[in-house]
Amino acid sequence: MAAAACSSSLLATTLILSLCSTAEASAQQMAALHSAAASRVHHLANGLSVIIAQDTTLPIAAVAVSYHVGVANEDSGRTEFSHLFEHLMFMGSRHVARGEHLRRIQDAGGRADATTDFDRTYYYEEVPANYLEVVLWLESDRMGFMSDSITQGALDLQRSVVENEHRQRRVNAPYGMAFWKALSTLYPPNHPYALSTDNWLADLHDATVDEVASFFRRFYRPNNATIAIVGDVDPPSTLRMVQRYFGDIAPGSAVARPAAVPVRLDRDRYTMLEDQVEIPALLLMWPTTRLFSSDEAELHVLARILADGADSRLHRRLIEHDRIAQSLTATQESWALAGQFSIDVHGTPGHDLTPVRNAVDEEIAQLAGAKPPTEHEVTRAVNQIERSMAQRSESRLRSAMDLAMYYTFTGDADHGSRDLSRYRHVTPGSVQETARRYLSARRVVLSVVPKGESRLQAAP
Amino acid sequence: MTNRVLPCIVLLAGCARASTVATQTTTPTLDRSIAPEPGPLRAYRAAPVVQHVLSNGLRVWIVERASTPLVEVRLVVDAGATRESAAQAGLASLTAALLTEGTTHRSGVELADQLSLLGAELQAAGTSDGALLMLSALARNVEDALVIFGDVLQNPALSDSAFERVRQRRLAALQAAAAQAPVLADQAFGALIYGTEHPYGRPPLRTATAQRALRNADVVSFYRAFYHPDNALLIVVGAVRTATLLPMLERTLQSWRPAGVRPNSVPSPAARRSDTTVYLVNRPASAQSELRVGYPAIARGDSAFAALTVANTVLGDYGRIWRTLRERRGYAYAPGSLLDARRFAGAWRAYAAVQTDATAQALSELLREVRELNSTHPVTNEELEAARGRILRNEPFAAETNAQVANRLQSLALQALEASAYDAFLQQLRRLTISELSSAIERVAAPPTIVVVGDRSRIEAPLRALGLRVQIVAAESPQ
Repeated sequence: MAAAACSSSLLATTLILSLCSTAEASAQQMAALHSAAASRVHHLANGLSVIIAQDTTLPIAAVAVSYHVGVANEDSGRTEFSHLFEHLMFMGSRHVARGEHLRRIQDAGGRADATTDFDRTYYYEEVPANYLEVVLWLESDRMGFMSDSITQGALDLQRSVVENEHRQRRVNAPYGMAFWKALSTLYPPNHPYALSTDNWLADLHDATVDEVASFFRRFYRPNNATIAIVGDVDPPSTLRMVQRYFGDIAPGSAVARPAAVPVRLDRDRYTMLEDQVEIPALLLMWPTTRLFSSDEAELHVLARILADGADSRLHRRLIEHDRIAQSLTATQESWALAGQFSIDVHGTPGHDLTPVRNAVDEEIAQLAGAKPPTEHEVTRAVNQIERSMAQRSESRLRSAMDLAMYYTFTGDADHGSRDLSRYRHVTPGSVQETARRYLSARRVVLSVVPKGESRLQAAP
Repeated sequence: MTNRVLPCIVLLAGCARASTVATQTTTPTLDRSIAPEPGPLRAYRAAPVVQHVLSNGLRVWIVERASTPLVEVRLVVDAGATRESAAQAGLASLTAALLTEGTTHRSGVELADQLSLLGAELQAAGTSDGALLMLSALARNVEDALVIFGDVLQNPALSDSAFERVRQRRLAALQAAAAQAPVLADQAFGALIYGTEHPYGRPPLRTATAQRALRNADVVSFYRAFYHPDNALLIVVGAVRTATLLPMLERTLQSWRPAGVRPNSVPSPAARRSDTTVYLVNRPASAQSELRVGYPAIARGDSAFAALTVANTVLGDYGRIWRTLRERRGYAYAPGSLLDARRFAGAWRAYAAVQTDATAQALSELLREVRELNSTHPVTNEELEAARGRILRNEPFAAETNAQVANRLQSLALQALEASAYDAFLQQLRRLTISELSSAIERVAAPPTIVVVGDRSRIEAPLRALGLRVQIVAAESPQ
């Protein structure tokens, strides 16, 4: 809805902890507390998974309905179809008029929205807790009775909105296409994460009402969904309420999952975008590893050692010492089937990006060789990760999304309580080994340069 | 501080792992055509703000919240752009930015290193109404983090080399801003509403020439003039106890001394001659046009703030503009309106980013919505009640995270209001009548100020065909 198409912000760059913790609890105490509250996932007979967590500190509740469908399930030639579909879920259902869903939630003082990612789509509400039943009525109506509302008019209108979202967030925003261009270069056409930046709007234009209806029948079934509820709710009566509203929705056939396909590039892929920008930027992207795989924690720590703060290696080298960059970031993004590590550097107006790439490469070579990560650097990174996890757990909505996410991708809703321990086990040696394994391999090298300034691109 | 273990989320227990809920149910058949009625609204009371004054005169607002092991600290200094002269545009934010570049005891890199090790983050920012120093820390390390915070505040190095480095970064930021259509639109709108000499009307960094004219000596004297405890307010939110925090603050801020800083005042912007002209900023090949339509409005402390907040909700907070431009026409993804009420003045604007080929149609719809609010389609009783209910019921959502609680207090402090001002706003909101609402709208309504940023070659003729005067304005050059 007002959401990120294929948002990379939720699963990827932010680390996750699902449960609320305590004043001054250490990481170990937090972990103990959460595993004591061992997670129970309930399954309705139609296959809907239900997770309920009570938090009575404020009279509010968050509901996240997670459908296990995303970009990975789009047919080829249908870039962004899953996101277009997400918009149509707000166009009414058999018992809910067009516009009524949002209006009811907003009049309640709450918020409703949705986000589509590569592997899953969240629909969510935050409401005063006494409105929980209204939310369950709305969400169950579109899960059970949405297909009545799929009309050509609704499709045309939302296609126009999604096109404008694409223009506002990507085409008209400086560097807005860079990440997508790099991804489309990294993932080959037969990969579930393949997308076409060139045919984006054309693909949207070609979508038909029949395709929308069939997408709904295939993926928007209770057996392909998890509902997580966090807040000031009574768990037993909430479970009965979920049963009442969702229990009679018919299940669909089992959904075939795309296979996890590791990506390997046979050579460095140099590519370039000319954009309405003043400052040339360099985006390096390496294929790495997927969500919850064994090297993932190391890659998150590595990203922080390289680029988090003025004390990070690339910051000291490129910004403080060489003065060839204005700002930079490093990110490990992990999705269900694959993942990638990115370094994004904004250079200097009018200056060639080749020295920027050379400096980054030298720092990586140092880290992988003579200047391995130190204990100090690893501790620093893990402490920052601990804070970001604790901050994330403050929000009931994030907690609900994370419970659904952990359940969907690990089979254990309570996995969040142990997630910090992955980072506690990271060592300087394991970070160095991970850097050698992934960052010495072939990668995408994308230069974003001002229009007409292709001479600034990083040379192979 | 002692440890307290308060498990605040308990996962549903009592059923076997991966249990299947029995399908038979004793409840009657569900009639989905009837929306369920919400139960009674549960009581909510915001956590109290504890107020203190340190021995050096620094006012402190504390909100104790034990729910997460985190602490959020915000220092608000009355040292924003309203304290600089037009000739020194950018000096206030430059001074703020230099604070975190190193102290007389710690280099910039050492600062970052020590804060990271504590799991803490420190940021400085300059806004039009004040400078901010913001610390976010794990509660167990808050004392060590506050020592660094105090060092940054009291002993900034303000070195020539840091000055030069930060200035370069800001010259690049100026160029980056010039590439962003929404920034160009907001700057052109602000310049028309307030005039380019007013601190709210000039671009924050103005031009590269202006930035190059600034000297590190200017920064040092700006810091000396305004960074004093009698010109600031400290906000602490999170897992802290007032009794332990206060002595900690006395210790870490003991060498920070008051200096009788003169009160801040800014002349009202010159009254603008109203006309309905489209001020068009050309952005060749722009995929969308940025639209702004609005009026000069009110300062945050004005008695009409509650009324105009409701009016703004009706117009553009998923209101009339959203329904027209997005849900009926599909012209825009996120259209809306903003009541930007600052300490000394304010503006009210409707905004949208629309597809280039629908620019004129979208502007005409936006103008209609803005005008009708004060003419043929005033706010109805039903809309007033809906907006009032939305804002009041939304209250507990502003208290989920420490940062949210701190943000609200910070914005009150920036506007030189008391901590109780938000409660006063809610009281006003509860009592607001439809006639107060319409007189507030009538008070600010005028022929609207209109800005369009887009591809002139494709939109100028359609805009003229609407019967509007079109004047081409140059975006202020970043040079």
